[in-house]
Amino acid sequence: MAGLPRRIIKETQRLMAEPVQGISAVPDESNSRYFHVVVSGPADSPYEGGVFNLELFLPEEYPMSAPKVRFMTKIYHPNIDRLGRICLDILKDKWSPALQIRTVLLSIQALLSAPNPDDPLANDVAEQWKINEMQAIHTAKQWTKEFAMGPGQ
Amino acid sequence: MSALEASGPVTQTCKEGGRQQSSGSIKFGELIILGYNGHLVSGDKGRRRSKFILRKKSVANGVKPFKKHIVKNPQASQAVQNCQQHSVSYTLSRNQAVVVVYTRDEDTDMFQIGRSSENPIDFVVMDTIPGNQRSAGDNVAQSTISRFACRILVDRNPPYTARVYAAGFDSSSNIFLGEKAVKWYAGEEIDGLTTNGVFIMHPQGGFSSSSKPGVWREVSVGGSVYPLRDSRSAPLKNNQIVDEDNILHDGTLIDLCGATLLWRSALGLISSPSEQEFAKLVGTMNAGRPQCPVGLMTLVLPHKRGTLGVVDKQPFVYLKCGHVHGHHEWGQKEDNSRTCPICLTDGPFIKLQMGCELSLCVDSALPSYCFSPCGHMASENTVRFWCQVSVPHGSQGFRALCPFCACPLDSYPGFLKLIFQDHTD
Repeated sequence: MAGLPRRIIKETQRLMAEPVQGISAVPDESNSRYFHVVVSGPADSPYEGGVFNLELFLPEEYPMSAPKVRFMTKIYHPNIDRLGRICLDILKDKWSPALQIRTVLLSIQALLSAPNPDDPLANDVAEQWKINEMQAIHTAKQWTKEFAMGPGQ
Repeated sequence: MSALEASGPVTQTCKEGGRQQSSGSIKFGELIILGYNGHLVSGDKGRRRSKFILRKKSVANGVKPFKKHIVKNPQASQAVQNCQQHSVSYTLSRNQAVVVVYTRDEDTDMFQIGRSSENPIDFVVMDTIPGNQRSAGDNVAQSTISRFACRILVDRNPPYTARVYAAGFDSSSNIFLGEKAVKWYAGEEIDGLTTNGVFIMHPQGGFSSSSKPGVWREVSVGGSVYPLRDSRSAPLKNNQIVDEDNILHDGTLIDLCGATLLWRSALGLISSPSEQEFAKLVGTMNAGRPQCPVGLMTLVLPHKRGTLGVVDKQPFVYLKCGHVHGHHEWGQKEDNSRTCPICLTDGPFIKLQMGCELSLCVDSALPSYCFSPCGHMASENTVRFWCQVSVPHGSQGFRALCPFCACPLDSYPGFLKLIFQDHTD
């Protein structure tokens, strides 16, 4: 981990030593700024039982700028688009260097529990969520079963 | 062996500027100049220092009024010409003066304070430049402190009562109040005020967390107490306040117009922490391993004056919210304010400095508060005490200041609680 800022080393060590329940983040063997992340779908959400893969990258300016996070696993969510990009204020203009990888992933987990169709990224999903929430939740469960519970997970 | 070398004990006292002091003698108290954190900006040297310890002299050197004469020309009078004879001359008119001759007082020790570096001055005090206006090699262009500003007489026997008087005796053992000075001669009493005056203020309830500031008064050459004049050097005095006196209590402030001194009695100083106690308090705070929320490095609070050699362990604070961080560049705004990464409040971001002049501390609690805007750390009771003390400023004004650097405090509340991110590991 030569040349890596102490802050990143300390965060990584703590993530390993005290993992957060339902979240795992492991640095890539060849690039310690790139993390393989797995988030479990929260209980009582349409994503319950699902296992979602994400990638997290710490840019050169981190922690002065936010980490880049993306869902690799397909997910039906009004704030996550088809490319896996996430609409979350702390990853954009509400970023603060007092936040950490741990807090970012906890926020993403919370976003799965509380979709916010009023601030959509995937417009069609958000539309569906507003028009027929029951149907939207059903679709989200279907997608979870199809993409987040497969043998590949 | 030369004559100088032979005089062993004498050379010892010469090091203390010719004072008759020895560290073994009884300590009466301390005078601390507000605005220096245990050290003058240019360093403490001889009689020029930030703090003066009053100790019982080996031989009494106090003086008391003895008799008075009316003379035509005080300069020509024998009492004034005799350098061994202390006297105060009150010039009433061009050809009439009253000379009060003083005699030795075996029961008191006298300590003189002023701007002069001449021998009769025990404690040389120069005008204080507020911490926020200091720059290297600063000198006050025009001083407002008198060369022989005031004198303090302390009873050599318990309870070692100390009294302050305006004006000090010069190298010829004289005090001259010229034609323009405020003075009065009524009945048998003669007294006067010095040009810029000597003010005192006793905090009500002593030097403690529960005390409230008192009212500033002026002390005369004879030691009587008066309400302040309309402005600092106004030529008219008010009526004497007969039920108040010039006795110094633990926590009394003495203002010399340009520098303010705090009197701490030897007994009162027990409530302030010792060096070891203070190092222990700071150690307790450091044991929590406070962390910078951004750099995640452990911050270290110094228990001595000055900044740490290690830059990335130096704590900083956001003055609006009190969150303590290490140094970093995030959230800088054009107007020099910064956004706190923890709570996103905008405000100044400044270096924390320890308040190390322990005689200014009202208790021995953790220094977990700081003054605003300078960032000097002290206990909650200490910052609360000083925030409500108004110190004379200019000819009529008063303002609260940080006792460690003399920087004027922000209007309200002038202090803040520090929020550390500690005990995380």
